[in-house]
Amino acid sequence: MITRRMFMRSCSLSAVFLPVLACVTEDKETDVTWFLSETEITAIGKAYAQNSFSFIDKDMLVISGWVITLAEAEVCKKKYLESA
Amino acid sequence: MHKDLATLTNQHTVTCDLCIVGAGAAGISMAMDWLDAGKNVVLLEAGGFEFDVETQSLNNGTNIGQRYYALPATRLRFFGGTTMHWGGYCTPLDPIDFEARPYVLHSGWPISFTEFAAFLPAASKMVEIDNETWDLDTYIAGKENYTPLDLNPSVYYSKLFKFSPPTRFGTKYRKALVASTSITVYTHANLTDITLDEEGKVVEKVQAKSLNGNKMTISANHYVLAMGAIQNARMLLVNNKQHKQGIGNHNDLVGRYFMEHPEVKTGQIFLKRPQSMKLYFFDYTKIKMYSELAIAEAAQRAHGILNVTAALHPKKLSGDWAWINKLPEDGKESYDFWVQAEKQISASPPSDVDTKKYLAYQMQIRMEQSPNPNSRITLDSKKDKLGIAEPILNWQLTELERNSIKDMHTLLGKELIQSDVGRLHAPEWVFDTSLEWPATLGGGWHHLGTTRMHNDPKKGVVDANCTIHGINNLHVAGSSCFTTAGAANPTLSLIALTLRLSKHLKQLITK
Repeated sequence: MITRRMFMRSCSLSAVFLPVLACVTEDKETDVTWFLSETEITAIGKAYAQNSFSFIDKDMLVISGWVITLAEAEVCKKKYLESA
Repeated sequence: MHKDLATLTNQHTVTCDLCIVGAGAAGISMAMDWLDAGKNVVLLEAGGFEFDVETQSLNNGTNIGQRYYALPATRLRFFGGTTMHWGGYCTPLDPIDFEARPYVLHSGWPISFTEFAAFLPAASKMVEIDNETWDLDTYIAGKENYTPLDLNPSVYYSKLFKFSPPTRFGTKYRKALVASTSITVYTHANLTDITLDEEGKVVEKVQAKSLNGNKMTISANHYVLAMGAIQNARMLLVNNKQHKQGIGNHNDLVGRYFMEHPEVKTGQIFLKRPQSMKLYFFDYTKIKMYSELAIAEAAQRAHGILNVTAALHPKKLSGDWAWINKLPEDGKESYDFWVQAEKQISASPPSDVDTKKYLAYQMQIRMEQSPNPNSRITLDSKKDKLGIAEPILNWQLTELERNSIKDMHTLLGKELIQSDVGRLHAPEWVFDTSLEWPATLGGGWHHLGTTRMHNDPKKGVVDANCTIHGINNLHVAGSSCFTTAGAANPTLSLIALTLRLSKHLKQLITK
């Protein structure tokens, strides 16, 4: 079976089509509901708004026990502020 | 043949080529290796062929360190030793475990992984697992639904574990050893005295006693201590008539560097897409292999992390219990608890869990403990029924263990995102190392390191051949010789190391 990772590594066209894919999905809001409950989204959004987190690299962080992306934290913050 | 010291006349004396003290995984493996060697071998076992309360109480001791199980609950003192309640997990130490790593103080074995691995096939035979590859991808090739998580293998990989039936050494090998004409098994023979020659460089004889007062003296060419990491250290320390600090303890190392494998439930993994997780599904006595997530050697080195593996179990089926809060403290109750649980599980059919239905997985880690001289066995003023000082365990963990847990979770969380596999959540204590260890932290009942191996007598109790520095005919078998702990369940590896010592002894004895 060819795994996604193997495919990504071996495909010589990836450098060409990945940016295209990224453009296609750019406008779609980052989905966090597949792993976070509403309560968790609010808690993370609040913690992020209060700067209660730590970066693990430039676009990933540890917040409320979760390792998530900056974009996901932003989504949580937005939902938290909307609900506040 | 078999003789019971409890029924023999007083002052029984025997002479032999090799005297092995302790009939557990190490002692029985060594004895079996001498079955057809044509040499006279004595195998001393403290207990009988069945569990008995009075003998088990000789494993009593006090713990003054990190919260731990009651000592009699973790070790069994009868023929077969602790294999008689072993879970059967088999996986070897990793190459990195043998390396001197700058971020792990006191690391670095005096033997290579290759030297050790040469004995894995014979060790595998002892525990009745196959001798096929340890490479997971090769092992599972063609097996339906055995799909590893698609992570970057230079960061995290899936490590292969094979399962012994589990082999109960006391049951499996009793007949062959008792039928042997060259090996004599003495039951109810507790080692009490080790007598050195005048110069203190050679063991002249050892004495064993039964609880009803019978004694025997064994005079051998070579002696092997195979009683487990607590008892090996205890008996070397307590025999201090000729060397005041105890045998092999000129440099105050005997009993130090006690290591366990800290085991605890930590974070959860949330898969983005359902997939078969059959490869990771543990079903005691029903599976012959499975896999745990393991941190790659390159990642360990790059981030200064101890070796760690994580078992994954569907979160909904996992529960919040921990062995350390469940196992009775009394030796008999603990053994009965285990036997009953195993009977129930063995009688039940294999689980029909469809892992594709679950997206959330609980991680239970088993990790390397760094070698720490302050984590140690010493002697108590309290004595057992044979008049021997009881052991005191001071199990001590360090900041490196806490930081490694934090870093391995951070790294895994990051890798799950980068590989688009899922997300990770962990409790507060994982990421905040200033918090106390959770009440669920236990160990695997793995006792390691109290007679550590090093070629420098100032840094180790035994040399690369497992011979006690300065005493040419006294050797140690088992995990007390481990220089570092690795993250692998130790039984398979300690047997491999024992068979390596056995080969060395054959060269010495048949000269």
